[in-house]
Amino acid sequence: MMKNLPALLLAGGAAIVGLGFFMQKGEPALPQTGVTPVDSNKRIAPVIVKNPGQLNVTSEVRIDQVMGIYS
Amino acid sequence: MSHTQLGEINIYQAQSILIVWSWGMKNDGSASLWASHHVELKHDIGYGTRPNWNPLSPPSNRAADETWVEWKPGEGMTTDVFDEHFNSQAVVAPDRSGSISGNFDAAWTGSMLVPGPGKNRALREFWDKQSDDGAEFHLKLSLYQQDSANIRMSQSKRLDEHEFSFLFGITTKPSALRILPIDSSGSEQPSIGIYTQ
Repeated sequence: MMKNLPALLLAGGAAIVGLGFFMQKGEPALPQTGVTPVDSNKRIAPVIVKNPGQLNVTSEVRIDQVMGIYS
Repeated sequence: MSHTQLGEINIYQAQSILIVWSWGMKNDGSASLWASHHVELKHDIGYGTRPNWNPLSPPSNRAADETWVEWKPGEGMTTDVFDEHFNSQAVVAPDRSGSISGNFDAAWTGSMLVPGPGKNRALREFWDKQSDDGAEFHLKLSLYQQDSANIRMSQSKRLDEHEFSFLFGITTKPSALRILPIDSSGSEQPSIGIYTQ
């Protein structure tokens, strides 16, 4: 087993590089809009709604306003 | 044309850009508790935050978007490109922890003011360029519970985190003039209506 360790490490490394190569190849082409969903691979923290004796979130965060201010 | 969630916000001659957000929240205990938020306004650089899986590919700008404004509990404003380059500060409110009374239904409302093109010539040129480049923005918001006021984010308990990807774009182009309808007397009549939600 130990005798084959370098070969195993080499094979593992090659597998990772190969996997990365194919995942790159497999990515969908960028849409013509030029817009890419930035959070497609991102994990968003789950909302804590049952937190006895503590603060709880009762509604998802929402955007109330985005606007220019002129004064 | 913008493909963002809110479309293009017209900031022509605006002194500031205002963003307001809110959470509904409840203190389920009897004692008052502290809350604060983490706010990050990011400028999309085109390829978002997708990781680059191929270790052999050449370096690129795919690593991350540009953070323009970031405010952290216990630290305050940690990034402000407007302060760095235009001597004009972005503002995040509230800028300290809020106390939520026990057994109380509350709303956490936060806001950000970003210096707009109406502030000065340098900012106007800057925003005009962003408008020409089709700048689009993401907003990352997190809500924290804290054991005491104004302690750091790492010592706080995160209740929620959400990133609004491609929340809005901007334009600094003046709105086109509209032709008002002419009534039977020949005078121009603006349309007046009541908008309900």
